[in-house]
Amino acid sequence: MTQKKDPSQQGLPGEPMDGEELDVAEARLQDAIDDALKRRFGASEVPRVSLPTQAGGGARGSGGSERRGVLARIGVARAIAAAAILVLSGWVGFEYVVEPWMSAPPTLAVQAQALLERLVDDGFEPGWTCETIGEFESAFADRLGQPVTVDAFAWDGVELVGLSYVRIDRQYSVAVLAEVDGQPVVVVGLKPGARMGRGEGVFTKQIGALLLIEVSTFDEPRVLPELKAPEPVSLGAGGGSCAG
Amino acid sequence: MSKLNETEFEARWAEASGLVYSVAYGLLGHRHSAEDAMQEAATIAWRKRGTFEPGSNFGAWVAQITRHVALNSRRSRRRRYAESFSEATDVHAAAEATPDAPSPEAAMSGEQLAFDDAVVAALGRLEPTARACLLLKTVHGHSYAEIGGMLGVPEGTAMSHVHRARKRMRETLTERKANEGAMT
Repeated sequence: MTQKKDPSQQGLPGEPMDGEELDVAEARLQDAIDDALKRRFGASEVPRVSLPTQAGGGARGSGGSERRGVLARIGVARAIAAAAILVLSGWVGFEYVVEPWMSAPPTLAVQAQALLERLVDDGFEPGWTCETIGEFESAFADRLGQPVTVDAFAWDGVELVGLSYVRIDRQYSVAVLAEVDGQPVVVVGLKPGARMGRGEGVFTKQIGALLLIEVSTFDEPRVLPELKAPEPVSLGAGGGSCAG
Repeated sequence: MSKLNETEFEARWAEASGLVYSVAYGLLGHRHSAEDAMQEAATIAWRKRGTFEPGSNFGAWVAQITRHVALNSRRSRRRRYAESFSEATDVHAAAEATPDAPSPEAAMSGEQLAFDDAVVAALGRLEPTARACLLLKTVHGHSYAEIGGMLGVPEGTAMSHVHRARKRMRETLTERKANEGAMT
């Protein structure tokens, strides 16, 4: 999160692609990236799927109809068993899951998990990035009334990718998008009040009047421990507004 | 119009599966989601094989089916949370390949594996269509016109997606390297 996005560097439609001019270091890096993509998405990495031609109905030769008959009988038995399981699990599910769920609004934990899912679906792109810690502090102070700081934008396997406006629990808020060991992690700041609830990979930390919620698939918070209230002396130092 | 028989379908699918995977992964961004989309695309392609014109491009045809499946999957947004983060597990599992199980990666250095992981992570930060365009161009060498046809975007858009994606990947990886250097 050390560089602002520069729209002038984003390229224009119709610019030369393969013939684009790169310096030597860029060309080497591009070659290395291309090679890595070919390794990771080459033929040996392609998942094998069960083709419908191989799934019972695709038997070849004279034994096909006999095999299909056996498979059909097995299929009927499976269907009956599945129906019984479905009825039972449906009752249990309604009694213990659906009904309680319908009678209560989603907790903050659930909403935070949905937020992370949505951000990942959208490409995990930050709304903006900050150049300085002061800008980072100001983003929280300006939008949520509570400055939050961090010593660095990257540490042990953690990289703060940027910040985004988000809407959660009917509040407009700010979220920190981070990449931790290659996986997306989000920390969102909220004014406490709503029912927090519990959820796997959801952790909280209170800073002043702000509740920070970290959501990820890790079993421990990786970003929250580094977020803190700034020392009084640092307030205003290096401040300013973020780009975006 | 004669339908593809089982053997023909399987052979053509085998040829096109890499392309299908790139489209699915590009648009969905995660291996497990892509695998699900491939599975569904294969089923639909088999069911609709009567609409495939013999002599035309099977890969392009099935890529378009995959694109529709992937877009529907994105809309439904079900089960995505768990799937979206299991990708890293796959990456780590690959990185932990033992010397007893020879694979292309077994011969690679830790540094190389880390770089490949970083490339996949950077890829994950691209916009889905850009990611798909980049994979189709880089891994499969398709023309921009072909990519546009498969993904339903104009040729020029496919071109600019690839250009920007490459630049963005370089920037991300350069930045990552700088950050790593700063940490050490």
